[in-house]
Amino acid sequence: MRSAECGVRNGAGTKSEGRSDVGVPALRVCELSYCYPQGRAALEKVSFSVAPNECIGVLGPNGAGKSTLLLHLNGLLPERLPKEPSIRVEDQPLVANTVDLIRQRVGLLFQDPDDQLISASVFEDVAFGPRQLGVSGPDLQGLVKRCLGLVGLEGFDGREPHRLSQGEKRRVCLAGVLACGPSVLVLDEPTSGLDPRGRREFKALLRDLPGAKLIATHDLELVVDLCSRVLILDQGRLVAEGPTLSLLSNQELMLAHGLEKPHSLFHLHPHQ
Amino acid sequence: MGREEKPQRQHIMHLPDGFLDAKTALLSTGVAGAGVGLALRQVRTTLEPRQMPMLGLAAAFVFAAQMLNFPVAGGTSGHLLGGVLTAILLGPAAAVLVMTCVLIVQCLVFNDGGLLALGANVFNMAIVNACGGYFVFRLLKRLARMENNRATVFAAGFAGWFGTVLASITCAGQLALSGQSPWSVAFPAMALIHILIGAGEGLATALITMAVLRARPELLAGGQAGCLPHGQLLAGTGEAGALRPARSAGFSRQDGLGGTGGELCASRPRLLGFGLLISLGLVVFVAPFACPWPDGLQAVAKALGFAGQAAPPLIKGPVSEYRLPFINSLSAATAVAGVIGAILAFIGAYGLARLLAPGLDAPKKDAPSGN
Amino acid sequence: MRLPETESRPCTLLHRAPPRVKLVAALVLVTGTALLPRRLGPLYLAPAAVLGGLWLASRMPLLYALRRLLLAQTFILGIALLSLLSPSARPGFPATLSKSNLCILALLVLGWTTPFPELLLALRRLRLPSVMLTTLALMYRYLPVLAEEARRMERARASRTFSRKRRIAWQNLGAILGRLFVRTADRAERIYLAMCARGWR
Repeated sequence: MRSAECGVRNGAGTKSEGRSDVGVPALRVCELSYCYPQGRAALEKVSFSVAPNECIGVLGPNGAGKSTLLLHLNGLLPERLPKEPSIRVEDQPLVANTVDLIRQRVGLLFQDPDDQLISASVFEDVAFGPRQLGVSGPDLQGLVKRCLGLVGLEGFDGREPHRLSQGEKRRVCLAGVLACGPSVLVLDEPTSGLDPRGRREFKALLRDLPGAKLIATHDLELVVDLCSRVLILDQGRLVAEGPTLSLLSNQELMLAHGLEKPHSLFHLHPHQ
Repeated sequence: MGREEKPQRQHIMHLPDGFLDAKTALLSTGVAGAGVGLALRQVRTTLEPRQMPMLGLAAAFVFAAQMLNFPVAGGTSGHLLGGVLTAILLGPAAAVLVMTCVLIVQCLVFNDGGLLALGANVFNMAIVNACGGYFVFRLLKRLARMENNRATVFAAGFAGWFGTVLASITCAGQLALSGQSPWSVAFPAMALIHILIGAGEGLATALITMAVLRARPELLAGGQAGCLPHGQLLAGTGEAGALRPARSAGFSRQDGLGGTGGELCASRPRLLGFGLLISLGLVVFVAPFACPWPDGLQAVAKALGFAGQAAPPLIKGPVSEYRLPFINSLSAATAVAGVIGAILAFIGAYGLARLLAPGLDAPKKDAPSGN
Repeated sequence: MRLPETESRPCTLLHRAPPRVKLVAALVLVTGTALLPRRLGPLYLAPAAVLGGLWLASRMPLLYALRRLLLAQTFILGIALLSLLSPSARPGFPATLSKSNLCILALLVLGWTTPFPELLLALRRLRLPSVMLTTLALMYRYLPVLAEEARRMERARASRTFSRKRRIAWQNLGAILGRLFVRTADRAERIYLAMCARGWR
């Protein structure tokens, strides 16, 4: 059993140069396809990989399949995993009998913190994941405290969820995910619904977290700040992939897929 | 709302402690316990893990629904009880559990309803109201000569009324059995009030059922077959990127639901269990007062301590009905009012279904593919 | 609707007592009180004294308790009045009133000293079935969430409702609650996914 050490490794994640690091990718997706029950394609042959400390942004208009993709990375979809895996996490294929292991390695943060914060107290909620993994007693206490500290919520152990602000709830959810010790963090719209300060704080938090990160978002400035590479999904297909700055500066490409060039890049490439 | 809010108590039949005597409390707890046990067993065997959270959320939903004000005559407002609605939406077993949990939280957190009286309240509101109403719902739906959706709304409306009235009768019976107040007072008071209140309950049940039918007919389909509904798992981003996965084939909910209702989860013997418990409750709490008992049974009851516990006028044989026509006629008048109420509820529900349900005939449009 | 504020409560001996003990004690108290004879008499002083002592020991604020007791009178009186309507049951009226209020007081002290999550722990130790425990826990957690959603929908509807007709009000309520149920079903699915994502089986 992999000990849940909160994913704490030395060295904060840094923005890499836009190249994948050599070695085993943290996450590799190969020709992932998925169909809705009505027959429409939700994902069509999506392929990409994420290096161990890379931070990747996933962009696209609503309905592009971003959320569906995220649910695949954790093994929540499809309901019956195929024998031929399309997804590998640190070279472990995602098949029926590795689901539990993979689920621990890929931490998924849902968009609405109320969907994820199910327990009666902050402590209980952060402890939910590690408890399934067999952590208990003083180890559990220490782990929960460490994770709460990582997200800046020391002393929040006894608080009740319905009294927390949106930002605090989101951070509790993040602590709960980190407590499972993932090597890949997958976040669905992490800054939606946050006020500017909450957004800044969360962004700083994400920046300092080590490990591979995949962020699906509409917050383009967040992507510019945190992500070295960007994937653009549209209608279930991966239509573009590449370094953040060059992709996001391409006004034509962005507009073609329901996005736009973020304002902060206008001073860099004013005429595009 | 700044200060801590206490929800207003709405339901007259929600008994606090101190009204029921020991034997009534024990009896009702016993029947209630059997009903909850039955519901638990059924839920455990038929519930899929993905439906587990729905029980808790549905309980929160019922509670939230009970808080809303339904305007009634002259500035007063009524509140939903929700038992029959829950049974229509989730099936009777789940409804029993959900309503029981609502009652537990109301008792322990909001001090609504007694702790000892929990058994009686569970029996009245979770079993008699929810299951009794559900049976009437299924029966009417099967018998109605209307197309499927209208029949559902019609049946829901009448069942809402009926369940409320039936529960008020068992509640009155419990009060009478305890000697708290004689049947000749409790029954007319409770029943008459709830014959009126039941109209609101039926109307609300019908309207909400219709709204759910319009939005997501398949949610209701699960309930009709006696299982918990599967939330519609639409892929894509209906609501600002919410993660909702698409559903693979799973079991087809559309099969066997036209008219006759394919029994996907609830089998007949289990539904009968609840029916038996309701009948038992009626026998124990209502029959001693409402019906003349044959002498043999009355002797047995006396020996067991039921009959004669309270003042003699409680149990009347047919002879005394003729002797004191005025006092007895209140109960008789209540019974007549009940029949009239039933007819009115029937007509009202029917009219509602015909009037307001035309939009349900249109085929459901395809799932949206995102904004 | 807000759940009771439990974080700012005093930390008396009663608050620290194990919840199972408190729950059982409350049950015993309530049972004892309910079994008292139907005439007001000196026996009633026993539970009254015990409860008075517990009230003091738990430092329950007077206003808090009185407000809730007052609210409780509306329905206690409602049913108790039934007994006034018949001569045979009339003498029992004051006794019933006292019994009911004493029982509510017992539950008040229990609620004041024991936040609901602790009561759930007690219920778990008392072997309440896990299906019900989960349901109770989730219900407690999501009550404010759903109430808030309902309130938001009410407000949104009200902003587009221009008549005071009762028919419109009922239609609105039906639509709101219908919509709330659908959203609740969706939320339940998402919660299930979120639980699975953290290893729940």
